[in-house]
Amino acid sequence: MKRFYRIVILLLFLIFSSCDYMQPEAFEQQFVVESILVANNPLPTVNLFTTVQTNEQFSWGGVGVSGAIVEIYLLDEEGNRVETYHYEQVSKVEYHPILPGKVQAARKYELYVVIPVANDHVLRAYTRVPGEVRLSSAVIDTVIYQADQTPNVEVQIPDYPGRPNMIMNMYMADNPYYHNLTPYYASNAEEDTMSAYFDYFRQSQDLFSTANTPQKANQIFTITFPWKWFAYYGPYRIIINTLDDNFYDHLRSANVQFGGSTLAPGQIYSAIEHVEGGLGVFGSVATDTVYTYVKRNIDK
Amino acid sequence: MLRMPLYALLIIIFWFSPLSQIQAQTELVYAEATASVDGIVRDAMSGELLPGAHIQLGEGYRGTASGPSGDFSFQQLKPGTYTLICSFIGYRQENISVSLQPEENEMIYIELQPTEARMEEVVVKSSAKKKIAEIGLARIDNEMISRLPSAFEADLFRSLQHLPGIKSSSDFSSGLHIRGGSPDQTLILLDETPVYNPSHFFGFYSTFNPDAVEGVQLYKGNYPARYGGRLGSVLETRNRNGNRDDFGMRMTMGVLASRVSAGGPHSWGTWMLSVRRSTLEPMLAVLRDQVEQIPHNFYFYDVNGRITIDSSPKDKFSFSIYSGRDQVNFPLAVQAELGLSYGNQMAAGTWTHLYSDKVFSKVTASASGFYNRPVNSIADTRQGTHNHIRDYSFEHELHYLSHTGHQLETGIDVGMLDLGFENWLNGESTFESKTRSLYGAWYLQHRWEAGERWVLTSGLRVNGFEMSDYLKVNPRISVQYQLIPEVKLQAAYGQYDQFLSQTSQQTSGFNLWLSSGKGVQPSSGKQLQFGIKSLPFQNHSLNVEAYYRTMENMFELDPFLPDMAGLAYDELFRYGQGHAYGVEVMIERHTGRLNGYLGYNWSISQRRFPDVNQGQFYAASHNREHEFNVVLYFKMAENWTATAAFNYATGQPYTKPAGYRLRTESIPSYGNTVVLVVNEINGARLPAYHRVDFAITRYGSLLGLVDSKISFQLVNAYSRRNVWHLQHNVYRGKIQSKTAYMLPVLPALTYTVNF
Repeated sequence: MKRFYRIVILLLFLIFSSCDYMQPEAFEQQFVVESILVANNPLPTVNLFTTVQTNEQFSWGGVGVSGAIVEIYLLDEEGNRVETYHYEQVSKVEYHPILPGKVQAARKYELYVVIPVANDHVLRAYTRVPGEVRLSSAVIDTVIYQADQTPNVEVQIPDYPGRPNMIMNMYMADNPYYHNLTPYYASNAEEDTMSAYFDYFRQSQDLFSTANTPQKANQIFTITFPWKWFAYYGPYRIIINTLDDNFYDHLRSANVQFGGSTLAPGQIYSAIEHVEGGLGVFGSVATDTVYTYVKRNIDK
Repeated sequence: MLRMPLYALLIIIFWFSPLSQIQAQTELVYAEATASVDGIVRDAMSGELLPGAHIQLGEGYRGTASGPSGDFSFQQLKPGTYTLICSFIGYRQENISVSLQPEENEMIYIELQPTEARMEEVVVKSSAKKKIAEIGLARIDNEMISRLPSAFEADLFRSLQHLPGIKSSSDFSSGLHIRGGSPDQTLILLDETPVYNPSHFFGFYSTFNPDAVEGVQLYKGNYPARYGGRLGSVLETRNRNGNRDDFGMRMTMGVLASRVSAGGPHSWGTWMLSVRRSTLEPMLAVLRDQVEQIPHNFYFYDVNGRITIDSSPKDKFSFSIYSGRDQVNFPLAVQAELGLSYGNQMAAGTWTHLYSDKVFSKVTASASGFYNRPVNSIADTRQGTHNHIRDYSFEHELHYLSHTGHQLETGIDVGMLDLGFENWLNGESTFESKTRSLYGAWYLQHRWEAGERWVLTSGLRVNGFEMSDYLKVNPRISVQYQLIPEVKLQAAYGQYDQFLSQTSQQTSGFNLWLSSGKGVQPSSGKQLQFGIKSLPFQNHSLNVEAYYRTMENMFELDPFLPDMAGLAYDELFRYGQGHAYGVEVMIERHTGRLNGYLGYNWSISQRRFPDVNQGQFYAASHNREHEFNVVLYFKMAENWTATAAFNYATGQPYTKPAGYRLRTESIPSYGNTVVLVVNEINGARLPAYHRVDFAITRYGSLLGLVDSKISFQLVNAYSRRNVWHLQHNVYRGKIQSKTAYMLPVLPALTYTVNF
């Protein structure tokens, strides 16, 4: 019997001393392009840079890609190029249009990048700009924080092909001072560490679909602004953005890399991006802005 | 299209090739004039028929399990005297002597005594005495559950996780990952009724009160044709029967929860009622004054009950209930609170009827449900979800025993699944999904003891699911061959379907069930396994099982949907496939002052989704390649026992970001400003997991009046800081990994009194 157990122990030792079969793949530097077209706005900056390893410091000065040929094309519905916009490098990362141009709503665009220092490596991406967004109700100039009525506005938003409209509301506080914090955010902040919270609280975003948003005729939706997105009392700009597919895919996937969603703890997936030959976002939005003022509710 | 004829051909080949040999053996034995024994196994207290009891023929190695109506049969026996050894989880073993004359058919009734009054018995022994288990089958009785060390509370699922091939994703989860499958791939049955989210305390414990249920029987794979609806495994447990002779009561006080159980006879049968409730409130009240963010409302409870009625010698009725609920309200900050309410409810009634000594039937009607309602409230903005699953079913089984070694089972299972999933914001629904589908199944299973050496079990299960217009025939076959008296070879093959999918979030109370439906076909899979069961030495067994299984058309809720409104039902999911294979080894010493087992498991479990990991297979998050378990029981002295459990496992796979980038200002900030670059999903490993748990128990009496037991337990005795997961964040422009750890050392004390 002792011999039997010795054999068993030997077998177990051999199995345990064997190596795991997995080793993660090594890092490979990749090119990243980022540019967001805004309907009825001037052509945007195109940012061209590279990724870095997780143990490296990321500095904009060190990741820029120089000498690239950058062009944006306006396309017709069949995908033919009808207009070309040439870009020039203005900093280590940024490329600006040589001639001014305006982004047209509900049109297709193509981004084309050639990188001579990387054997003429090509990056290519396409976007369809959402249709024009227009406020169709009177602007609420003052709201009392946590008053009975949650602030809302009526907005005309054209359909986006193939899916419900995805909206990103951006809440921008114009007086982001510690003493202006609303109660929930004040309880999460300390005055002496306010710099750490400033950027986090000054802007907040809400991503949602219009599919279940109350709708009147002619694609007019009632958009509500829940109280939890107001971190400060005072003046606010609320930018209502409708998103194209590229920007929506990037936001919905990159945002859960640090938690949330139905993913198990520690699970990370790549962001969903649509740039041939690299990473990044060539997306587009159509926007309109609500200006309002959030007053303290003296009854609370 | 070619698959079905191919399988049919394989079945025919499989069926007929051994048949000719078996028939030759059978004819030889008949020529010698044989005898047979048929029997029924009952609970001695309640008279209830006991399916799944193990009956062994003498000191040889021929054995069988009682059928759904407690029936069993041994055919083609040589005349002579035999000892039938009958054992079952939660009951004392019975040995019965039978003398058989040529051509005699003996009918016997075996009545097993429940081990309710086990506390006075301190003999350390395993219930699995000298028996060779069926392939893929594991059993754990209440004795083992109560002896194993556990964090705060004895737990059925955590006891199972000491067996090879059964894992949890973390110390904080009682979810069962069996043979590479996710927890939703295991059908969990309480009195033959599904329980959909059997967890308390955010998944820390299972809902099964150890004082209220009778151990557990688990098919790790290749489960019989009478079960269906899951790709992987079947776990069965039952509410206990009350004592037929006397009123009995048991009270247990623990750090986390206390339990009271009572049972006894009534005019026509027995009754049992058991209640458990958390007892955290006093501790939380003390902590609330010293620590911030202590829940101001935190409790769970569960109630189990069972009534049996013997209306006639041939008719038995039983009614079972379970109801449990968890509730927590957790203050996060000023004007911020997280609330969660979830629970399971189940009710089942069963009528067992004996038509003759050869034919039995069982009719079960049941209803089962699970709901959860997480709510978060921030700055007067309330949002949450309402989720539920309800399952109403009716089952009818018919069991036939012949004199020639054949057992035939057939049955139907029809029902309706009702699932609801709703998101709401400030009281208004923002997304709602309701699916209601009829389902049905018919099965036929044939078990044939062909001579002394062969046992062949074949079956078919036809599954239908209305919402997906799905109808499929699943064949299942298993073969056992007695090579020599000490060694049995086993092989099994089967096909399986699954209509449901469950999300797997950090805490099980948030999980929701989703069903296949319009445009979403059910998952399907195949399982193949081989086993060698042996008794190399007296009181020792060595079992080895190897398996391979596939998982096709797995549907999971797409994790990248911030708002599901407006999407078609099939757009809510992502679809993939998986496979798992492995080898399990278990060496067990059954009796003696020191007994227990060593288990080893090597397993690979992989998944593939089209747009993930460049479409390549990657390791499932719960895949631990090597796992080693040791469980030892030791009788230290009269009334003193000690238990130790050691577990070592390869670290879980995780995704290590290869690189990252910052977003430029051209991207309007949404959430984080960092985007991680992932080359390979789950391509790295966390450090190895290991820990040892101890328990010391003293059996005695309270004031000399009633039996009592006090147990001290030490979980993770050397306080190994096992890693749960790594969370990445950005600090001063660099990516940093923050480690989340699992349980440190945890002492616990429980005290039990038996009236």
